[in-house]
Amino acid sequence: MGSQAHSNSAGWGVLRRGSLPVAVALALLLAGSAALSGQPAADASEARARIAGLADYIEQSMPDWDLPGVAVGVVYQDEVVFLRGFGVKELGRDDPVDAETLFQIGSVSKSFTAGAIAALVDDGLVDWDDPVVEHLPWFRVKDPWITRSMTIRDILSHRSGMPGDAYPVLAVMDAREAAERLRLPANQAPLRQGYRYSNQGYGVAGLVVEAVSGMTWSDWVRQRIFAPLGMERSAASPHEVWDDRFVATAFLGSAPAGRASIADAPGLNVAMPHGFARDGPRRVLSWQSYDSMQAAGSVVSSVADLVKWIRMHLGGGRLDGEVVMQEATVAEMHAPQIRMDEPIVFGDQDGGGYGLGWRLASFEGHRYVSHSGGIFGFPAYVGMLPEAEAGVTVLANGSMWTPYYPHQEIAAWVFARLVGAPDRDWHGEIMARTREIEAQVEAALAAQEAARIAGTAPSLPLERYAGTYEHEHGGRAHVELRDGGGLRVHFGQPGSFSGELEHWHHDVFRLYYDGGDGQAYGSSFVTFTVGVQGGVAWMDMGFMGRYRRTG
Amino acid sequence: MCNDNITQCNVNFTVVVACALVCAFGSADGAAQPAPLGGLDEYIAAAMEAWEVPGLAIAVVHDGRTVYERGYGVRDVTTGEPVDEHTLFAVGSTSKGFTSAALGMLVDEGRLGWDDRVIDHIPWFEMYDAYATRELTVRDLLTHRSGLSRGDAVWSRWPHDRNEIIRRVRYLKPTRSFRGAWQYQNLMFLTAGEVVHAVSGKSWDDFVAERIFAPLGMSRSVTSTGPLPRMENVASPHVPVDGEPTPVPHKNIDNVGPAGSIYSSVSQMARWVALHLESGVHGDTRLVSDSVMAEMHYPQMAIQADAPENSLHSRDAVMNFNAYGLAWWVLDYRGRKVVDHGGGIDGMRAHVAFMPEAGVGMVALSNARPNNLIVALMYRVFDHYLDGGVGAESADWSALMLTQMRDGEARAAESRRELEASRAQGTSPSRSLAEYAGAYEEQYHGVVDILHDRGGLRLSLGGKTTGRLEHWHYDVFRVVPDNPANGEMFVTFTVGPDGVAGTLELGGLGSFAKR
Repeated sequence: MGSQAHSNSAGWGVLRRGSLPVAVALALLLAGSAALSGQPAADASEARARIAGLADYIEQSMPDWDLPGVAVGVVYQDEVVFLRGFGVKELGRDDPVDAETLFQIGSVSKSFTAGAIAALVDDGLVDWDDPVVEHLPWFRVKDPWITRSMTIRDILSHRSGMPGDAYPVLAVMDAREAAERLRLPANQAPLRQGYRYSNQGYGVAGLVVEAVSGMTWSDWVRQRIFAPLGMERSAASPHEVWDDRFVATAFLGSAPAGRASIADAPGLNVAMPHGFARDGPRRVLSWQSYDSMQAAGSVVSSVADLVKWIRMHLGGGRLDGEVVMQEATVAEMHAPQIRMDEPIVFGDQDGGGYGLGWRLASFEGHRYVSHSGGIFGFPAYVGMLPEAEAGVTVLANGSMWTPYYPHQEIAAWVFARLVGAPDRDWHGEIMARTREIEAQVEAALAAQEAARIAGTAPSLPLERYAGTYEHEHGGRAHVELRDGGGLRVHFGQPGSFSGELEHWHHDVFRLYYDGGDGQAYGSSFVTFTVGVQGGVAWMDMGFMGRYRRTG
Repeated sequence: MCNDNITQCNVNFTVVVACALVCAFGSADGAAQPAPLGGLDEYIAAAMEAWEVPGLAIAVVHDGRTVYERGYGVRDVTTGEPVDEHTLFAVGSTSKGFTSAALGMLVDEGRLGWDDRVIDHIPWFEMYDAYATRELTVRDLLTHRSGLSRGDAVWSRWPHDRNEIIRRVRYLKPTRSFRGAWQYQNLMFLTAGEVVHAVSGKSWDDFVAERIFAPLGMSRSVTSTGPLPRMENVASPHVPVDGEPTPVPHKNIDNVGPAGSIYSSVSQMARWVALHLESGVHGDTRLVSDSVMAEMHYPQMAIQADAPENSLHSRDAVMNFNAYGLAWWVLDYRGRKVVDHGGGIDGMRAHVAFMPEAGVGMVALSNARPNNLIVALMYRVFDHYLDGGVGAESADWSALMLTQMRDGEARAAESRRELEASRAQGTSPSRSLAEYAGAYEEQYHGVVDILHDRGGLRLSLGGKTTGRLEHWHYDVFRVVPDNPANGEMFVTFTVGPDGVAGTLELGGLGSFAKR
């Protein structure tokens, strides 16, 4: 969730960040606004017929997508008209993905956090416009006026201006500690000035749920959403599914056990996320739990469960006659709260907006409510056309440089057929864009390599880089000399961020993340500065922050 | 105090004093002894030699009139012209009292209140914290309680003008809570001068000249170095170069004028001291109301014991209290309230002090930094009057303060030796020198230009501060300033993943990014 999550609109959100070793500018084509042709499917059985080719389509496309496994669910007029898994749960094993297979859904969890607040709104315990400090009296951001003014709605619509994520999540810490650190950094933008995706904001929303409900966020989500919807296999945290040894517990961290496999989870129907190794091949990642902001992205689910979530949303809060949420509350979540400037893939218009836990746009003239999520190696997607009573969910266990493209392609293929919009070469368009982006990445990497200065050495012997470095938000990083030579960076706790430093040139090292996806989040640069006193004075970790040597 | 951290150079030192001896009550009131103040003349001549001060002038005021004024030594070691009581020196931060008096006159006229919010007079004024922006008052400007540390390099090293510097205050992060501590702050006095401008419609310079200098007959006093070339009898500032006092150019600090840009003589400053001792009256004319004078001399803000400026006091004097009024220190010495202020800019030191109950005051100006002889003379003058004009009880304040200064110099020399010892031998810069050239910027201070020519690398801070870069070790360079008054600085470059020296650190001022 940390990263890919915040690009619910498209993969470029990942690439856009300063996090990247390469800065990739992506020119995205605006989707054509072809006129409607034909009529929507009359009923569920016609819908089934219209998407009869979906399984073949996915099977044929999977080699291009380079996905080990994918699962898809489609809802039309309150019926599940497609529900199936493809491929395998883990590369190198035969276990097939099915509709019940559990994936991490990353930032699609935000719709559940908004839903958890919605349940409190229905109970009369909170109002969307309550100031956060009314429920969390200890909460502070740097600016006292913003502290006083920031509402639950501001947080859920990403207009609080609060920092996005990066800093505190390299170390393992709980949501309260991460939220308390928000008093240190300046807001990334003024309050309500615009859309600024903030995972930490959702972490704070989770704390509001806990303060008001008197339960953990997990228990409240389970009790108020999973249970009434019959999402029996869904979980609010990877820790509810896995033994802690197999779960990374910080941004880009790695499992304490050092590796993970479905063999470590006998009897569980789970998929493994996949990234890339340093030298190119696919590798199995571990599940990832960022306790520092659980409510931003820790839900575990399957397409079989997520179609129930879709049906409730399309049903105005009802599922099979039972009222789970009030219709007006659901409508509020789907209403635009703040404009967005980045176009959604295959959307009709430039930006659209963000509601409460949902991205809002339009598709071929139909209101389009969606969200994507991206725990590393686990791209996820839920999309709905409420007036057409159509919904699609796609979960996968591998990523391209453009992690949500296959999902958006599948959704477009399905939605176009269900609403009777003109068909297009969705796959061709997506793959062309993908290749374009890959070419840009290659060019950026080549430019990076060209700037590398050959024949240099670090200023100091490697052991003099070893030590403790601190950052006021991020905490304490350790640089250590490995037994076999070479340097490592870590944050000291099991499951926290760690990586290996490889000399680049002068006092610059390339940091390869132990828990990285091998692509956008595979490595970045670390630059040391030797100071007036002759020792290392600073370690600049780029987007992860500039750390001061303290010991 | 003035070490390689450039933010602490060119600042305005002040000394406070205390009751070191059993105070001799009852002896001062009738002490209308005429000059020559118990051998002060000989004392100064001997002390100047010990301190290696080229030139010094002193005036003593008692019972409303100047009872002693005289110059010693030379204006400039290269010309040998003598200092007299009319020689002009920089009075440095003792100028701050003129700024508060100017505001006080506007208070008397009902055009300003001490507790007016600054933004009501300068609407574009902004502090780093919004609350401080909204609440900062005129009184806060004059009492060093803004929460900001000095941040002096922005005016002392760069050529920004007054409005530009005030605009940049918004980027200076507070180091203490608003009104939470006493931290000496020149930019707030600059802002106070702009409040004078905003309220009166006259520049601070014109207001001070017309409303204070003119009625006091301070005809040769000026608020800028600008007129100095056309004026006679001006002392040159001196700084030590290889241990010898050496003349340096006058430091133009027009861009922070209301905090310290006045030049005057002891003869003229004596009238300023008399105005304070007479509670705002000069001759037959009242210039400032009694209540405004009282407010300026009244403790407004306690000075905490660990304030760095306290290290300039005599450690041999005991203080019972130490506070700041409105542009004045307020403290006690031998049981009497003392109001004083020091000043110090490149190569010049000044001290102005008075003891209202004893009706005595003094001003001492000199053309060498660092020196605290001028402060020692304050103790000596006060002792003379407190002891009934005899002066027999006075400690050898010059010797005591000289020892104190030498101790400080020894500590500084030891730090410098340690720094030298930590210098790595046999290293070279990562890149060719030309690759370090460029413009590097930081929000608060502005741009650092690193220039490359046949002679190697040079540094320029908007042309105002310049120097040559000498390789120290690795990517660290020592800046050898063109003007020795500027002291050495260190520049540390960081070469990034793209092979470019993308940032530099300049002597504790922060990180400047290549543009």
